[in-house]
Amino acid sequence: MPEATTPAVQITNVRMIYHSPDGETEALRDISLTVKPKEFVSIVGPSGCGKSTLLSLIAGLIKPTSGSIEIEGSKVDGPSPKVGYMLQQDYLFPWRTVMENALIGLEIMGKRNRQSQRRVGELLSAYGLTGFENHYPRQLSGGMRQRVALVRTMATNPDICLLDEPFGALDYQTRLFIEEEVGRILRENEKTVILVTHDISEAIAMSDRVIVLSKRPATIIAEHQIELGLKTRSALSARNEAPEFKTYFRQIWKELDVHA
Amino acid sequence: MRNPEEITLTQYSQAHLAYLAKVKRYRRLILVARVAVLVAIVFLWELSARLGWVDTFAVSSPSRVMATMYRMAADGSLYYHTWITVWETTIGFTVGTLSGAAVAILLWWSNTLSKIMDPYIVVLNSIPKVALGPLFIVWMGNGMPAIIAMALAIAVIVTIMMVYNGFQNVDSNYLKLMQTFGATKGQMLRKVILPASVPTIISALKVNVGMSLVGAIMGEFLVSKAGLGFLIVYGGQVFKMDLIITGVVVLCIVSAFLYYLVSFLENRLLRWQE
Repeated sequence: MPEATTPAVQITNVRMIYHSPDGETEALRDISLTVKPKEFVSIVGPSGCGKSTLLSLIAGLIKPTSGSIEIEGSKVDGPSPKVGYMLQQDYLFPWRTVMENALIGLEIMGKRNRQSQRRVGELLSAYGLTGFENHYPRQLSGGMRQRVALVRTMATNPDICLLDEPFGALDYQTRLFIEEEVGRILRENEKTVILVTHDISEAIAMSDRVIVLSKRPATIIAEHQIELGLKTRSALSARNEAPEFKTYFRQIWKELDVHA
Repeated sequence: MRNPEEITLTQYSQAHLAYLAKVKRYRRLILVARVAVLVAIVFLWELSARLGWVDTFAVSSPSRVMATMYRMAADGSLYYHTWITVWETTIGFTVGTLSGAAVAILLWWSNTLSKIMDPYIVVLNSIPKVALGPLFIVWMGNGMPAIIAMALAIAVIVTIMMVYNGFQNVDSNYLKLMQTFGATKGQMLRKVILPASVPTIISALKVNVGMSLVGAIMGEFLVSKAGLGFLIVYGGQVFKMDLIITGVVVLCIVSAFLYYLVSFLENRLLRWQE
């Protein structure tokens, strides 16, 4: 019941300053953002602007200098099982099989048992990895590895998924394909998603809302509700069929250009 | 595309069979050449000794070394001395590697501790460990404990340096990933740092086998009444080149054996790497 009213992620006046012996760097300045449950939000911005910092803050890996971050109404204080994180590369452990890699999160949380193992097996099959459970990551293609990474994230059943340019290391064709697939899976499972990317078209194709950040120190300079006149929403059809796609692209491109 | 193993052809083409035969021929050629080098050295050595080109008093000869070996094998002294050295090396190697790895884990666990200890480890690494020999003898007496201490001292510092470096070179994004699942430091050690460092640990082991053997032989030079190092030094003192070279040859065999033992272990542990 409170789910409808409580935002999935609530960021209020967050400021982040990094300290080093050489000086201090202001990465984020006065960021406020509300993400609704089941919403798919993308954050775009020039490289090095602090996009990843924002995700690390939401994931509870680091603490903000000032301001507050709340996940489903409670203040973030360290990593939470409600939040799943996908990194820029798959970071599968080469010494673990596909199955063992997919199980690592559950293992860490002490939730690895016969039941969860069977569920992960089903996830692997659902994502087209049947027959590869006992293979090692080196035996898989880039796209397949990224799918294993997705299973690993989904295995712990987080409500909120943070995606830090998870397709950046893939070749273009695989990237479009995986983008489409991951987008579909996350929507089907009703996850709240925050995707960080510097690829404007990826952001438009996948999300309900795109947030544009300025260069460092990053502030929010624009926000776009993406509304494409499509019957069913998919990343590929958004790119290929939606006439609004180009309009959004030009607009965001301009905003990034002005502030870069 | 279900299974990479399945797509390999069971019926090879003519060209592939020819390729396989070529690979096999090449491997055989390498093996034959290796043996030939050894045979040539032994043959030339024996020939020059027989023909009086060199003084057998100074360089001995293969047949005399063989005779010495045979005699020592018959009275059991060959096995005795070899066993002593292997035993000292094994203890020094095992204890040195384990304690070195333990120290490396401590240093990884506490960044502050590693910063504090850094200059001491650097100095301990650069000091020739043989200089510590007399200390070990005074502390532990004129015998095997001092020799094992020597082997251990050499192995332990190298292990600390190599293993700790390996730990630090683990991609920090793996740790970040673990952090997002809320992993503890102990979990990171067990599930990431240690398995990721297996290749480094193996190469540390390979270096250590040699290092411990050096330590054991140096120790035997300084104090002992038994072992291959003792044989070699004793041979030198009584001008018996046969004995020295016999000692060296057995040492070669021992070190090759120990090295391959570690290689075997490596193959077992690194199957995922292939």
